[in-house]
Amino acid sequence: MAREHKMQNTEKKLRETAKKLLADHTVDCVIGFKDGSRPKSSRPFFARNPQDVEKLVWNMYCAANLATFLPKLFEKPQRPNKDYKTPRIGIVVKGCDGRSVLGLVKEKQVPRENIVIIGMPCTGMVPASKNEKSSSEEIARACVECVSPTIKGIDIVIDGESRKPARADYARIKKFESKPAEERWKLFVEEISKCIRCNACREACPNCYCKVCFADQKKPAWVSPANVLSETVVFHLGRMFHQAGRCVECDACVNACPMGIDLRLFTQKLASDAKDLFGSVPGVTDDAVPALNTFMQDDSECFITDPEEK
Amino acid sequence: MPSVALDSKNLKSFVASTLKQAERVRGPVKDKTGTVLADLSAKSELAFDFANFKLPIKREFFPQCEVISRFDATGSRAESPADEAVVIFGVRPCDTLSLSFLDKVFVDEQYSDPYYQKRRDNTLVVSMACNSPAATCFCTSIGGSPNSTKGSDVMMFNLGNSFVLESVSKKGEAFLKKNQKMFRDPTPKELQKRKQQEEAAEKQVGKVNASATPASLLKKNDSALWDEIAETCLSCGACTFLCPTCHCFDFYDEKQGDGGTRVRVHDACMFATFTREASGHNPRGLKRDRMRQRIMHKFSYAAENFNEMFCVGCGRCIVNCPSNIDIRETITKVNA
Amino acid sequence: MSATINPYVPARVQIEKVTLENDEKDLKTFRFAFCDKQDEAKFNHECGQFAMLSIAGVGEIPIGIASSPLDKGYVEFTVKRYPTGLVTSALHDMSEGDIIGLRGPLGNSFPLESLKGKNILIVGGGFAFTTLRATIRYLLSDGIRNQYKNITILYGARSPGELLYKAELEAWQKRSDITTIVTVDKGDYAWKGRVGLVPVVLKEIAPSAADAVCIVCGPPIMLKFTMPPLMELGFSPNNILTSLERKMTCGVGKCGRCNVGSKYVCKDGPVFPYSKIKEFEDRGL
Repeated sequence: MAREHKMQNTEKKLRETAKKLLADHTVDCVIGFKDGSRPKSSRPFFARNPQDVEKLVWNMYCAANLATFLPKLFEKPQRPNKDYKTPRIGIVVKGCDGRSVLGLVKEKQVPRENIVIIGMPCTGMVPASKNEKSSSEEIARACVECVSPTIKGIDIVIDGESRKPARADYARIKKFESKPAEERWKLFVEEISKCIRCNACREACPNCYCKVCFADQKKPAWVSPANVLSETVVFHLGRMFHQAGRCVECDACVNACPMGIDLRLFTQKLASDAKDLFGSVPGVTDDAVPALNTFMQDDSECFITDPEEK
Repeated sequence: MPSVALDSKNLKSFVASTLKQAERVRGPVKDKTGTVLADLSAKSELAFDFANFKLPIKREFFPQCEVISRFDATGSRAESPADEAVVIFGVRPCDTLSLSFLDKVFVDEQYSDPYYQKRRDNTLVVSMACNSPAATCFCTSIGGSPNSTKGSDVMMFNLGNSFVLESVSKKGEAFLKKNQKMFRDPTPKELQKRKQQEEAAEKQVGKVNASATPASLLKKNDSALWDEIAETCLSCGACTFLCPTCHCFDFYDEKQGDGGTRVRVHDACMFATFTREASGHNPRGLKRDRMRQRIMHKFSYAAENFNEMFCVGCGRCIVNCPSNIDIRETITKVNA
Repeated sequence: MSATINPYVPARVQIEKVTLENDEKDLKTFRFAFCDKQDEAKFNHECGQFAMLSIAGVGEIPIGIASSPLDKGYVEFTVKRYPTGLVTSALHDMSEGDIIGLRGPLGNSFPLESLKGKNILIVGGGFAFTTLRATIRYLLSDGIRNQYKNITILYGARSPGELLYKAELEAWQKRSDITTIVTVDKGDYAWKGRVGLVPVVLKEIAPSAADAVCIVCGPPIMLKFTMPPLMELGFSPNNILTSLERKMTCGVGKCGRCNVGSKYVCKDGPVFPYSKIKEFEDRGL
């Protein structure tokens, strides 16, 4: 009850902030959340007028990463008409989403001066249930293990109670890595075989903004759309390698997947490696460029020289 | 043929008997993710207390990927789906309704899809009426029902201690006749309970005013409406791949040495490159045009071409859309 | 194609002849012969139809049939190479003797039966002239020509080097039973013929719309500027026929890709009257 009251206050402050940004024409729209069409859910919402802000909500069902909308919104049209102006967008973020936004700025997909980042207090999220009959109130594991409920570099911080950052030890990943290769492969195949190649993970991910995804290329064709094991494996491993040094473990892919695949097995591994091998926590450590976009003489080469060892 | 009854305690032997009559028998069983459609063995424990399978039944007849032909230096040869008799238990009426729609697409007088046709011919669909529709169901609003037999061969009603079975097609009648020593006549109480369950389920299903949708869509040329509906769409394809009536596909050639295979795979009109041509021109390059295409195809073009709305009200798209775009709201907006 | 035949498996055809059509070297006419005489006997196409050219291991493309139904023993297609196109690139790299696959004929056709006794105006632009060429070849055949009244052809390309079927154009210009007008957007030092955009030349020659039907094929921009003068001349939208193009996969109305509104370009088209096109445009499709 007390928590709900606090949430409502936070919600009120968010609406006031958004209203001011829109009324002053500081931004053209504020991307936030509004109530979902099912109980215990929310959905992305583009508030474009001051009166729209009444629909904005802030609760523990705001799990989606709204940063995924930004690259397309800032994509300049091929033939811009003379009235075209680069949009100015306010965006509601949690710690993880904020890291995504800062990452997109670093990768020059989003102009920093054209966004207003509104940082929300986050106590953890409950993703919308994909099972129509049951729904749990369990905070996602990603949130329990989150190292960045709040981050630096936000424009407007909405006051409120946030989780304490978890200690990043990636115990589950280390445990998985200690298993023999055949067992790891078996578990991996079991999980990835659920994939139906719907591409929801890719489209939900803010980092997947390539105009032509490697998986859709025909010249050459790296992978086919068929969901046979070899193709599915190449798609997911390929996508994950492209996230290396960039993934912020926001669980957007996990939540978007209709089949409930444990993609967190990958995202945690990426985060663990980025930290161990490059000292990078994307969006938190203020890296000039993503870790794998540059080469330093002292970069770890263990994966070449000794793949089985860390 | 009058309906028959099967005591629940005899369900396993019924399945065991079916296993002797068909090469594959599939049905709902529980695994750690929930209830899934799986191949059955004599030991399988069927689980009927679920709303619907996560994946639509179309995949049994129109798989996500299948080899349609093999080619080598001497030419191409059509591949044929396995010659196996299949029985599927536990299919919900919305999913069987989707089969009656897909039949119209894949099987017509001019061009028939031999792959879909063969699987359809070889498969006996045993559907199960819904006792507790999910909150996202709306089958009764688009011409379906939790008790509809359209597209099915045999219909089952779960009364708890027993089942009532009814033949729908000639194939279904032959199946029930073959197994008739497993069955008995239903008692008047059983028939009454079935009727009560049917009525209760119909009442429980959520309602949407959808019947005017085809007519409304003929007038909806306003881009602003589609911009609004598509605003938060990610163009991902989750809705398409989980939809029982979506049937878009693509061919893909897989080279193997001097020869190879041509594979058919599921595709989605929601994907940005679905209609992109080699010249770079893309008739549906804008997200709002793709959203309009999806809705129009289901509720306008299908109505025009097949006299049906290609939606069965199963709610899978509502549950699985990462942006929670709700087709019930879209229908309401379109009819406003 | 009957319902018992698998519509997805191609017949084998061999390249008999390759003709380079233009100066930019990206347009070639391929003449194919069926490897199996039975396939040849089954392939009876009508003007306006297309077929899927199928290269195993690469893919398939829908291409309008450029030869007349009365051209026996072979079937011709004129294909443009797109640098990003898998199949067009592979096909252009092929030579005489190579074998590919063919699925067809597919789609509907120009309703030439219903045009008997009428005047026909054929307007073409660029490399969209292919199925029009099939139609002209057919209409000029013995026993066919006299079933139609006046036939006028207006064909334009960007430059003289880009004109297709140059030898045939010259031959048609010499005939007395058709009026053939060829124009280019821009001439060159050797060009002695007309210079002018197709819509402009159309206005100049002002063919009569009385008891006439117009078949027009060209790039979208040309169609956009050709329809108004056609209608000004008195052609009603029902008497103007055109052909649409879309990316296709199955070619038989099942894969859901090529539709414009409720019509599949592969099955209900590619030939549509302009009245239908206007309907599509009005609905913003």
